[in-house]
Amino acid sequence: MSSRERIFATLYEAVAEPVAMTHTRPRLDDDLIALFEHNAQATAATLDHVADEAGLPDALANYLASTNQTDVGIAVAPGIADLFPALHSAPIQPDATHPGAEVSVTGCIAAVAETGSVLMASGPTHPTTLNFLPETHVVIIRTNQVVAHLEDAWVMIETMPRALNLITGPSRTADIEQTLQLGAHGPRRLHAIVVAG
Amino acid sequence: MKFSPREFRSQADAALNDRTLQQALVRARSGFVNKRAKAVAALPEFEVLRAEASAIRVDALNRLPDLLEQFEAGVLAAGGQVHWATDAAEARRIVVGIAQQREACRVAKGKTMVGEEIGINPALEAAGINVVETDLGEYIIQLAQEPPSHIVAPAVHKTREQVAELFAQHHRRDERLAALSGIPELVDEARRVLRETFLSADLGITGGNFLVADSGSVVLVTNEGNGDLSATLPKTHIVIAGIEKVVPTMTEATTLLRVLARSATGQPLTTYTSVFTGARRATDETGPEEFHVVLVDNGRSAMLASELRDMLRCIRCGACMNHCPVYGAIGGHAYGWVYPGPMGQVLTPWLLGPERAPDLAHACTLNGHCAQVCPVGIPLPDLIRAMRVREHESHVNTFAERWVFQQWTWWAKRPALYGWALRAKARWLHRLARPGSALRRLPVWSAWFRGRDLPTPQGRTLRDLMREKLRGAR
Repeated sequence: MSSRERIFATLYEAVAEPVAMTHTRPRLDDDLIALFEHNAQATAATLDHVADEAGLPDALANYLASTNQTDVGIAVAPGIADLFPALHSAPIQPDATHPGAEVSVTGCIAAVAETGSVLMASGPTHPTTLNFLPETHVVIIRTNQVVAHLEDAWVMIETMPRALNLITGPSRTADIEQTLQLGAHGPRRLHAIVVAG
Repeated sequence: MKFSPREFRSQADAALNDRTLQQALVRARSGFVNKRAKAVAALPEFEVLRAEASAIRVDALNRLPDLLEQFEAGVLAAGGQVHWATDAAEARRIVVGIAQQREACRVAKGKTMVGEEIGINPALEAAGINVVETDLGEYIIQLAQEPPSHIVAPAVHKTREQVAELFAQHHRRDERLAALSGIPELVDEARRVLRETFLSADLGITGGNFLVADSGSVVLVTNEGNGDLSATLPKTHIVIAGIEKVVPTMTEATTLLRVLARSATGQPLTTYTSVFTGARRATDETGPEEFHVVLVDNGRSAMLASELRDMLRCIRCGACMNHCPVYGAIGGHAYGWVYPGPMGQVLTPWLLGPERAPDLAHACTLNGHCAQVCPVGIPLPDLIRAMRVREHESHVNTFAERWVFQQWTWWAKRPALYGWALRAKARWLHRLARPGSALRRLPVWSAWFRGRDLPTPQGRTLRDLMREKLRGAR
């Protein structure tokens, strides 16, 4: 008998009836965009707004200047490269010899008001490394991508990609003396630029 | 430093006398308890969600084989592989086998409690493979060659000075390191060193918080991002998970996520919640070429058929230990193995055998705080009591203990006699000590009084007082 068969033989002996279940979602404020922004800021993410896509390159440049990130390597996700025509679009290569980019700019599948999170799906238009390797991650969110609950974000996914990354604020650790410190292994800064539309 | 559940008494003694540890424990206790309380107060639906989370776990355990079969089919359909391990040795063989087949030299490891349970690090190292823990807390204790003392914050017992010393000793880059003492500098130093590990590792090993049956996905939560780098950069990703971790769909996983981080660290959600489904797709530029899930039984299926079944609901948040007065006094190392606190008092004797952890089930005041905060409603005091019964039946407790319980049973079965004897004893003890003070010794009971005292009885028993009160009420 294989290990699998042995395990299942014991498990089948302990089977019991399914349990009737309800599913509750937390009640949320009506203004989802305001709620998203409030919750995202509570996780130490920063925010900016632009009226339309044409304003994105300037908003990015202003943010980088205001955080003293000038003369840095920027990688733009292929999926939104046309929004930043002046910037090159290259995934950050997971290679120690590659200088890598300090800043990544990506889109998202959805932004979740409940938790202030952004949802990323891996794929050719959005390599996963962009979410984790840079020092700063800039996320472009359209107001119509803001959903209420986590469940509303999952339904935006048609077929499961290799990796879904639900990101709630910049990387952090409290492993030394329970003291919160941003930028453990992932980005030190998470900046969201919200575009109307 | 070696710890063993068999040495619980001496380890607990040592912990109580360790001043640095006591400071760390005080800080940790208030931190975790306050953060959870705040998060729970901010979510009016928390108790409803907690009840639903309990039902989700009970339901999943009730139909575990069906859900596991579904999960397995999902992983295979997404280009992954599933391995079944009946015990720790088989799980180690499987993981080391994959590593050798892929000719892996270096492993970037995310935090996995089941990995600690099966002892995967020593097995990989024995095969000549370099294993680097990438969760900051786990990395610190790996350098210190210590086991974790908390399942969420493994290095909660270490001070910043101790961490600085460890880094200076092991990184040995330059003089500058010796002077590192600020927490930001220490975190930066670990980030720099571990980034090299991520980039050079050829195998990533992580745990899994939930297994989603209908899509064959593994849900992993972290705050640092180390789990994601371990799962993304190396050519091969191995997930090690207990067979009990499966839930039907993302909907159930979502309810569990809502209670998990709030119970663990007081966050509404951890920074990274990732859902891994299979290996890199043909069009993907990043991600592992191979995706393996090693499902570990190691006593779980037998536990499911036992009176301790409810323990398998556990989602490893650590709330039970954060709220346990015994854990708060002695910390995690005293428990001697991977799982400390109330959950460990059930899991450790079960997984290792009661004879290897004879004292754990007794390190409990049955105050019930753990059950009140458990996000999936595990009746921990009942299970700890059941474990005591089990130990009594398997004769692991001492002859003296058994004799005392036998005597007590004889009296307890005779209520009138019991009441009379108790009254006599209360009066005797009352006369023996000054009122308001505490008894520190009694003949024959020297073992019991080591580390305890007995508040002087007021001279009357609870039964007397109740009788009086009822008479007054009438």
